[in-house]
Amino acid sequence: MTGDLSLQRQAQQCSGRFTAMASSCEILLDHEDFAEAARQAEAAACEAWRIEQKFSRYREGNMLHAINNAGGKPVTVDEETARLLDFSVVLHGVSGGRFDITSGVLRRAWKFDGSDSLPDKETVSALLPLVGWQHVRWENPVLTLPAGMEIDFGGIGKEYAVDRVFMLLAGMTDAALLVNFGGDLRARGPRRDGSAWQVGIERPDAEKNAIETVSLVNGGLATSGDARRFLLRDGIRYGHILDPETGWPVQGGPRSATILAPDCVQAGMYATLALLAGADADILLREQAGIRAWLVW
Amino acid sequence: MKKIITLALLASLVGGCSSLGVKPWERDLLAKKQMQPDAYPVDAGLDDHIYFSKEAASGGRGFGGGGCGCN
Amino acid sequence: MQLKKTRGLALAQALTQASVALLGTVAPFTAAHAEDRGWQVDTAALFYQESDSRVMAAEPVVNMKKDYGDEKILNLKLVLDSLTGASPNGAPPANVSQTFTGPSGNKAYTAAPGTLPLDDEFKDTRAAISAGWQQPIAENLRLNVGGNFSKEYDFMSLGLNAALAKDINNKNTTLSAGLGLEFDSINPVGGAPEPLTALADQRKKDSDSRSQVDLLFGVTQVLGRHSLLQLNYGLSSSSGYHTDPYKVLTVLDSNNNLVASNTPGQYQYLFESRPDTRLRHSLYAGWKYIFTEDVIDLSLRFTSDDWGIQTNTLDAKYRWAATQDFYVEPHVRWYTQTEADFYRPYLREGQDVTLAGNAVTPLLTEASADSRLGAFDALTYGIKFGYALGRDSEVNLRVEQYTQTASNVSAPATGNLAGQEIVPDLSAMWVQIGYSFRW
Repeated sequence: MTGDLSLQRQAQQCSGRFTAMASSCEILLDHEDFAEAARQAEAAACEAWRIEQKFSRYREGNMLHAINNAGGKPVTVDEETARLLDFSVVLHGVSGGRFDITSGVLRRAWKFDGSDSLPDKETVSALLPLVGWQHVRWENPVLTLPAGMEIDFGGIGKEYAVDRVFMLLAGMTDAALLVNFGGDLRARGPRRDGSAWQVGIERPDAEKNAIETVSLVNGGLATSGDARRFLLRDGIRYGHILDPETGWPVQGGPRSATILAPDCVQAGMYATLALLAGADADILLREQAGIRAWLVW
Repeated sequence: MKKIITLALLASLVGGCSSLGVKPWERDLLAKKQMQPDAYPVDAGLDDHIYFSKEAASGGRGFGGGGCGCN
Repeated sequence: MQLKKTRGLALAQALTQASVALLGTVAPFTAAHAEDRGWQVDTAALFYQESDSRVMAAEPVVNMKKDYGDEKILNLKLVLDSLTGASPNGAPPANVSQTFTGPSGNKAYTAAPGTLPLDDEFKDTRAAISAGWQQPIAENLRLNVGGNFSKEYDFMSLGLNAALAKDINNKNTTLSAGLGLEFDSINPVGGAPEPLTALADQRKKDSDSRSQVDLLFGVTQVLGRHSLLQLNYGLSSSSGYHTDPYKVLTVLDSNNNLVASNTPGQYQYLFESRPDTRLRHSLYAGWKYIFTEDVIDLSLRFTSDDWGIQTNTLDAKYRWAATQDFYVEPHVRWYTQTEADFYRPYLREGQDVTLAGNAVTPLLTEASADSRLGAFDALTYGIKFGYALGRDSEVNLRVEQYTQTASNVSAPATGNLAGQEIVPDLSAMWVQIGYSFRW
């Protein structure tokens, strides 16, 4: 597990930077002990890379590959994968079935490159039999996927990694810290001077890319729905969140949702649920008193 | 009169300078307590009341918290 | 299979539990505001003292602010004001003894020769409360509404205000506009005197009132990472009773001597009279600059009104962050004002009044000898010390010294006022002890 890790010391804080899960990752530590920061940043990067390798679709020989190529045979998974699977089950339930980690195969039909090339209905329909958590047998720790089906933790992997790295660092230091993987972040504060972390939330809608600044003391932030991954045909925008029942993008929902919640995993979940909820996203989020939400329609 | 013109010009300059300002992540210093306009409301209120009762001018900064019979 | 979507509290619980199961801990969550919920309370006690046994005041204040989240803020303030002492009644010192009838009509008081006559029937307690509510009403648009009420023995005031603030340019510019309304009811001790009538005659009526409308327009602009500028224009129009019911003007005859009145042993003084309306303009500019912790705070204010008064104020403060928890803030303020058109330190026969025996006929409709309406310069210098006890709590001490020096007022060369200091300097000091905390 290797990669580039850079360390910096600025006024009153140390930071580490590396790339993981296709994102620029940074760790901000509210202390000035450079040697300690090096140890902490390395631990953070290693954990991030470990999770990335384990659940990457692009590697052979990892846990995910074993699951997705078992050809219908049962696979015994490790404790961490089991926890992620249990988590996915809960999300599948609370979203009324719309959150489904088996829907990854649909990417064979959809290429979200901003063009107007929608797939034809037959291509999508052909893939539908391979989508659906209801076909999967999950009895901790044994997972049985029908042949041809795949699972993919892309929807929750990054937020999980943020929280894992956060907890790891929280055990290594008492200082205030912020873990930011390309906009999905988790923070602990306040900083030594009493101030909160200033987090910028991109609002790619009105007013020339306005950015809103939020003061965060403790909590997690996650954004779902990328304004860049979409298709546009005849004035209708097809976001990249697909409804596993139809194989087509969820309509009427926000283009992106940014959520502030007690941890990054919950933030990510609310963000995903908001996009899956379609036009009801507003109502869904307004009912939640413990979070803050920014939606872009 | 000259002072009024100068200040009015300043005001129009400021309004027209939409390029003046900072990015949201550059607001760290401005966010500190001592830079807030209402950081010490008690001090301002007490002084305003004293000057109101001893001088002819009052206010200018914002709305006050009430009158008194002293002017 | 159509699963039912989970919502509301059930959703929150399901996700919290799922998160705990996945990650293994319950996270402490502080709302996305740097302030916690609860009240931010600022309390202070002010002690004010003027030189020469004039006014003394003690003033406790409590200010409470609560952030309800989503930029909704409630502000409550209570001020108690306890005043004792004596206030100049408008008559300058003379080289003879002067006796006056007190406001209630029965008590009389005397000023020795060479001393400034002070009306000492003056113990007053005032209570004032104010409340304000702020909330966003649209994107980048905030509304502020508030009310205030104050009561003292002879005066009552009721006010309402509302203001809108709009952020533009990525919140680098804020435009604001506000409206204030105030209604005052004046019920003087002994009644409100008929304007410019003799003190000796004690012609009074019951009570009177006054109302005021204020408009305020402002721009706040972030100049850079270190500073911001605020500009305000204010217009204030008041109508009704502006006169001070307790103040009089000395009458001098053509020899600059005091004139006898209908009351034996008392000279002739007339109750003052101010116009029924007042229109004021004000222009304010404030600039704050922060280094890393130290702050410079400079402000300028010009005002001008239709009473002929123009004022200039320059206020400067420097907050020196001596340590992480302790700051020292010296302060200086220069102030100057011109006199009101109807300001007269005393009334002269021939110019301001005509005399016929004991009768005085004013030639003016408005006149006042209140030194607050005269021309003067004032200087304040002070210092504040603050010590932080925690993230939101602080204890502080502030001391200010104020001196007001009248300009342009000279005593007549002859007569009872010759050689007197017509408007003596006013000197005052105040000390404020404050304690702020989160509750």
